[in-house]
Amino acid sequence: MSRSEILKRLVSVIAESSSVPIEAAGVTEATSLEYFSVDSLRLIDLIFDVEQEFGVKLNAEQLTGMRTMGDLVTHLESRLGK
Amino acid sequence: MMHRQRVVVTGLGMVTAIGVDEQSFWASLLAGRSGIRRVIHHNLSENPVKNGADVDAGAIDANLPFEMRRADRCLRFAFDAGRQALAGAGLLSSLPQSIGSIWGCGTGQAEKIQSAYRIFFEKGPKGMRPSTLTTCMANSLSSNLSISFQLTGPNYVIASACTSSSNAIGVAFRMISEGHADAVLCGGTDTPFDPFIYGTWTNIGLLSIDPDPARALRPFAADRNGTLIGEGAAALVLESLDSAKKRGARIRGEIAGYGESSDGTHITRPSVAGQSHAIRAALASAGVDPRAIGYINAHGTGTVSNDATEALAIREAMGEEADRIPVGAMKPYFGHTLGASGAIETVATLLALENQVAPRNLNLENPDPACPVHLIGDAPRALATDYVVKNSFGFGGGNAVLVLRRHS
Repeated sequence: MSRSEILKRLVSVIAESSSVPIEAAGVTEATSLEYFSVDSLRLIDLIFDVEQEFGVKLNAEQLTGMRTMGDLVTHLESRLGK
Repeated sequence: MMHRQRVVVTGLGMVTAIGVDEQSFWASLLAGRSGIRRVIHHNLSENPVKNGADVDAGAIDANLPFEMRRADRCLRFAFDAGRQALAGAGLLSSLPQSIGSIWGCGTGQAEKIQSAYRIFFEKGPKGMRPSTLTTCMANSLSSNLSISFQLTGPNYVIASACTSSSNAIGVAFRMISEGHADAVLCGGTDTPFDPFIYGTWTNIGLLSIDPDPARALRPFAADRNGTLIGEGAAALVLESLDSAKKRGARIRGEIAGYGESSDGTHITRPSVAGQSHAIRAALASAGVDPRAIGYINAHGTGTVSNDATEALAIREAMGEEADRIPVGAMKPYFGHTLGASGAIETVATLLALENQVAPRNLNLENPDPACPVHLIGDAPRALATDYVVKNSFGFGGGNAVLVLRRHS
């Protein structure tokens, strides 16, 4: 799966948990994860949704080191295989 | 019974099939304009009864804050009604405040619950999104409103079928009159056109199958044959008189008394004794006798059973004054809104009291002689009264009655 495909699917997943409206066209790999203002409950939902969408297990610790959408795309890319 | 605080209404809001703001709502009531029609905003193609009072939610949804846009329909309605009420009370710009959030809802957040069950049947427990818990829990309604409006008083939901929101108003009334709160945002909401809920209502055989929506719901008529469902919400800001006066709030009316009871007899069949008890308890709570009452807003569902029972209960509670007190039934205007009916109809009754005119009874060309009460006819009735009564009676045998006093 290409990085752009991963990003596109991540955007639709994050839209469900985001506390702010998101314009899909405006979200890039450089977008900060803080932009979505995901609180603790929404973070649990977000992890669940990513797991369901991509079929990989995630945990909050893995996410704490990530700052941007690109960091998340990189992590998923490594888990899914190129 | 002496209360420590008098309880007044300083804000009103509503979302109904005849108006989603006070001006259009009251104008429809005065004009005798019904919102019952062939339902168009929900898919009732598999239901034999296609008439009801649905709400065009477009304008409401377009004005919701982002966090409310994904909410269940009944929560979105409650939010809009609550926002109207808080704005009318002059409180919207002074939050957070220690104001309660007490809401009645008969059906619950059916839209969200049904979606969750659909996923459960497809994917099993592993497919349940974590926030399903907080979205579908029964108090999600009052809690989300408490959070959205930053209300730090008590918040909970009362689920008691058709008396839910009258119970909510009554609880808020007691909270303030006994000094436990200065103000409460209270009300009710129900959006029962969800296919699961509406299917059960159709099958229980209490909906009118008359094809003409304009005539189908006929409370107290000799040829009445059932009720029709409506959706909507209404909110009131109740406040202590002291608090309202201190901040110069506009007072719309007063909750003077509240009475409640259970029939203790049957899950659907109403009881004269139970209803009469609640009416008399409300009068006692307000410290008035039947001679002071100038109007009764009936529960008046249009079913054979409810209307006959309610008429006898009114006669039993009011005695010979039942020959004089005009009785109105408003469900032909906006349908039977179930858990929201108490709040919507209390708001309508407050407007009638404030304006000293009761809306006409629709579809009452042929009153039932077995309903021995003085029914308003086909024209609005001028009132000259300081006290009115609002009845609510529900499945499960619950009865809730409010006495309202005019503010002068």
